[in-house]
Amino acid sequence: MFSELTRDRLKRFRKIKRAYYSFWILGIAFILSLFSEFISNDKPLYLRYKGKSYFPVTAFYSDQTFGGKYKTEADYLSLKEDEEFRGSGFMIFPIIPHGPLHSYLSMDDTPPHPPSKGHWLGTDSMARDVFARLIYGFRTCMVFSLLLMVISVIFGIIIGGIQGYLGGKFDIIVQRLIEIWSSMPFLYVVILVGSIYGRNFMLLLLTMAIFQWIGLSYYMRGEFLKLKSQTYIKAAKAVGIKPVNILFRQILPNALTPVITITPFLVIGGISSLTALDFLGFGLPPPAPSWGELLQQGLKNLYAPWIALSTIISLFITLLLTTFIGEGIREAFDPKSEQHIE
Amino acid sequence: MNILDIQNLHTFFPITGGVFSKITGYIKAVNDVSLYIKKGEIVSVVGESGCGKSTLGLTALGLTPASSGTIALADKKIDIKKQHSWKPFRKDYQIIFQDPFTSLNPRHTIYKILSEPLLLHKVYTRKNVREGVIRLMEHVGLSTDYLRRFPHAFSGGQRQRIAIARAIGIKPKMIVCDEVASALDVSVQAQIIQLLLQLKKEMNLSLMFISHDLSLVKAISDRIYVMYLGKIVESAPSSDLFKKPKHPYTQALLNSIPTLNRNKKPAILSGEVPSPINLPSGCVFKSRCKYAKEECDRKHPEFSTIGDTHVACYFPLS
Amino acid sequence: MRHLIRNRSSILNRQPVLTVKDLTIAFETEEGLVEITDKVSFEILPGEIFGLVGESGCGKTITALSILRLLPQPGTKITSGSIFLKDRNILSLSYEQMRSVRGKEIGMIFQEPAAALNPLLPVKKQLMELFDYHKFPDDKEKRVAELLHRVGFPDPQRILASYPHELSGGMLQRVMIAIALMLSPSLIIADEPTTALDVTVQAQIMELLIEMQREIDTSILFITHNLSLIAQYANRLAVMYAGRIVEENDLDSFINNPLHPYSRGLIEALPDLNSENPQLKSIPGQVPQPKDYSFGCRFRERCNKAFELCTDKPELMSTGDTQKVACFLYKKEL
Ligand SMILES: Nc1ncnc2c1ncn2[C@@H]1O[C@H](COP(=O)(O)OP(=O)(O)OP(=O)(O)O)[C@@H](O)[C@H]1O
Ligand SMILES: Nc1ncnc2c1ncn2[C@@H]1O[C@H](COP(=O)(O)OP(=O)(O)OP(=O)(O)O)[C@@H](O)[C@H]1O
Ligand SMILES: [Mg+2]
Ligand SMILES: [Mg+2]
Repeated sequence: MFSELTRDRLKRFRKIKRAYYSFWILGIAFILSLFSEFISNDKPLYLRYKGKSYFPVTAFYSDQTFGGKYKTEADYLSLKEDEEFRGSGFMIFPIIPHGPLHSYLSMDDTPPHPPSKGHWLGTDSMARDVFARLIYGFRTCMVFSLLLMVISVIFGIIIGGIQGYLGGKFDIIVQRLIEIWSSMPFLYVVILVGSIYGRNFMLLLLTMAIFQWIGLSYYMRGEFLKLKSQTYIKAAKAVGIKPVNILFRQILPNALTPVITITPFLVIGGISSLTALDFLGFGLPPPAPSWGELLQQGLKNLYAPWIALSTIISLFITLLLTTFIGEGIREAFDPKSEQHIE
Repeated sequence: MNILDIQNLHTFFPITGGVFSKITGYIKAVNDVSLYIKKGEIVSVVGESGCGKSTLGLTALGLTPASSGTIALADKKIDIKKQHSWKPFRKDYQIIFQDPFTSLNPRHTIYKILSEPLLLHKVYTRKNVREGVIRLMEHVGLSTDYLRRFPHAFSGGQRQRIAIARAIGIKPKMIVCDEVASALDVSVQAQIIQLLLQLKKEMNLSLMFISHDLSLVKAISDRIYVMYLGKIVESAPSSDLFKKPKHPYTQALLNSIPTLNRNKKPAILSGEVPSPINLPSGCVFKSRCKYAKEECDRKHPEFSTIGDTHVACYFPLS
Repeated sequence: MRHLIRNRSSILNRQPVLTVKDLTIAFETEEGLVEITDKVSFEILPGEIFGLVGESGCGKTITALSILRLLPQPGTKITSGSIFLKDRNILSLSYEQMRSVRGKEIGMIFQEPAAALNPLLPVKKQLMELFDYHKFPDDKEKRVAELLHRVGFPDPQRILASYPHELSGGMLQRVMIAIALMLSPSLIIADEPTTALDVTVQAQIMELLIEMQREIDTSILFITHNLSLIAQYANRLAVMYAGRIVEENDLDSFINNPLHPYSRGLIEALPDLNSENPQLKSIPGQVPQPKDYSFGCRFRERCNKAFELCTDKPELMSTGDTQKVACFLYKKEL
């Protein structure tokens, strides 16, 4: 499936230990975070009541199911304390028995609460568990950045590729349009779109994507322009290989190398921009758990350092791991190391 | 039958400038060139670096768009404005590129580079293509252990041989050889030239042999065209050209060949080289010609015929 | 001829610009380390043009690249030997020190001009970057234009504005030559500098190199397979075969009396322009591939003088003041 060159590169990547381990750590963390509901939740994983089994994480049960009065979803946390329930059933909570949105306003003191046995990283100013919010925030921001990267890569490849391949007038005109487009102030557009259509995940993603692909299209355009003039492309033509095959088999694979090497840095860009936007309050709408919003709280509540500290450390580690991966990929894919450079 | 017949061919490259890339002038790389190659003939094109030899070869095979003129392949006229009119001729007309470092795809193994054209033109089937590739590599003197290697792991001369193998593999009728031998040392050079000569005998192959190595050219060609600044200035059978050059430029070329004799230093052709953008009025060679006279300023001379030689000069040497 | 007739003894007493000693370079391949060169040693004296000839694939380029520490990495290793530039060991310089040696002290003309230039940038940008890196004093543009003119371009401005693919093979090569000359290095490594050029430009370029060499006392390591060119311009030469130096000689004595059977074969393979019907002679047989390199004399399968001793390894030994040869034919005589 992979060309031998690609296999060589993968081998070289595996040899760069720092990057290789970072890749696994971040990869596993990300995959685990996709199952956050099973790791950190205020609903039990498993519940047994009057001889019957229930799975509250995956299904909805009303309060009445467990002998309550309301048709709304059962409040499992108070149910846990309920004498009558305890007599006829039990439940198993995830490792972190807190949801990202649940406010523990009934606790003593005013929030934010410092770290304790119940809340490992304390709670935020609305008495929500910081650890739970960090986990969910991680997922949001990884999914967001990965999607953002994929969308911009697709756009960048298509537009930059066409520009480079066709060249000439078309290229020049599109290039000027892109330049005009990219000179628009990004933040204003985000605020504007947010205030007109309201803030939501998809909209924010798209708004950011229409700016992110530009840098990538420059790379693609350059690669295509360069490769098009290479003699081996002429050579392929001379032996009679079809233009479509030349485009997809000879030019595209060669052009993808720089794209692959910059994707990790696009992800870093995505994480940072999302966090920054959330911090400024132009990102995802509350009460969605997000690192930017946590940072903002941390800043407002400097006397509660656990909020800011834990967020900053998480952010730092994530960015560091991604950077290591990026560096590794760049080193493994650098065409120069296939040629000659120390 | 003429395997290749070119009449009044022009290939101009536009020079662009400004934000919207307006055309500000043209590089006249090939400027009114007529040339023919008969079946089974080896015809050489020699000339100064940058005079348009490669461009001529590339244009003939439709790999660089021509500006005007006519090209006929195997007596069939080609529509020079349409890329795909060359398509039916791809198998029979091959080219070996000048630069062996860029003419091989760095992502493909030697096996892939050599097998692709063989499969495409159905010289071999998927089953026995490996055998064909091995035969080819032996033909050009490369070890078959290296099938799985990438081009970067070969020396200049080795890469050139891979390129040669790719071109001869599909048994073409004509090959444009753009400086095939210049990256090779004498003893491999001799092997490759002998290989080409043998192919010529076996399959009546025609060659357009672009080179600046005159001793090689002398050894293999039937006829020679001498090019200067996009124009042919002399054409003659090989034996005549070396014995009695008619154009002053040809003479200068012959005098600049280095030899083992340390007491005979190569002559230096002095004078200003005109730019291919602003060609001088009159003879293109006049600025460097030691015989130049007033007449030479008028216009570029027409061809005159002396014996078997055609020469574009007002005062051909005798 | 003037440049060739030099007072030998004055050259001999000076410290070599470059000393390569016992250089062994190996490639890491699937089958393990494969040695490409085997204890290559030579010296280049100040102001000298030193020719290195040898068959395609014998390791000339690899040797040249190792002097600039530009070997493909990872994948190659210098397993033994040393390279001294005057009295500094190149192999122990730091990365930064090496960067400033390249270009400024050692100029390189690569065999592959197209690959040495960035296809995305116009020539001018690339030249200027080089200058900026080496902090070249003012009027760069003038100097660049002047040099381009000297390597035979009537219109330096067009060349500067061109992208590499818009120039012919020979033009690129001349651009590379101009770059190598620009910073007036004390050693120029020229790997097949004129193979892409026609004879008239070749003569012009060689003249320019000679001129530079005289002006600033540059030494030149001149790698080529064109023996006639070496004969015309070099002072001394080394012949390489299958990763080993087999002969080192003065030019005059080399042409009149080549020592190694391989050198003799090379000279005989030159086509003779003066003969009526020039025949191309080749040395029968194939150059061995690096992984098949044997311990004994590597030329013996193709040598018509081979005898039983040749299965042993011939060492390079002196047969005269300046002559050295690695061949057992000479052992008998001694
Ligand atoms: N794609 C291109 N765009 C613009 N100019 C070009 C292009 N290709 C070639 N030229 C110009 O056309 C002229 C002839 O180039 P060509 O490559 O045909 O020379 P050549 O005779 O093959 O020289 P050499 O012996 O050095 O290879 C040169 O001035 C070159 O700069
Ligand atoms: N990356 C690599 N891996 C394995 N072998 C290599 C690699 N690069 C080069 N070689 C081998 O090293 C040998 C020496 O190569 P080098 O480029 O020095 O030859 P050269 O003497 O310059 O030949 P030429 O005159 O053809 O340029 C060749 O046999 C080549 O196949
Ligand atoms: Mg050319
Ligand atoms: Mg080489």
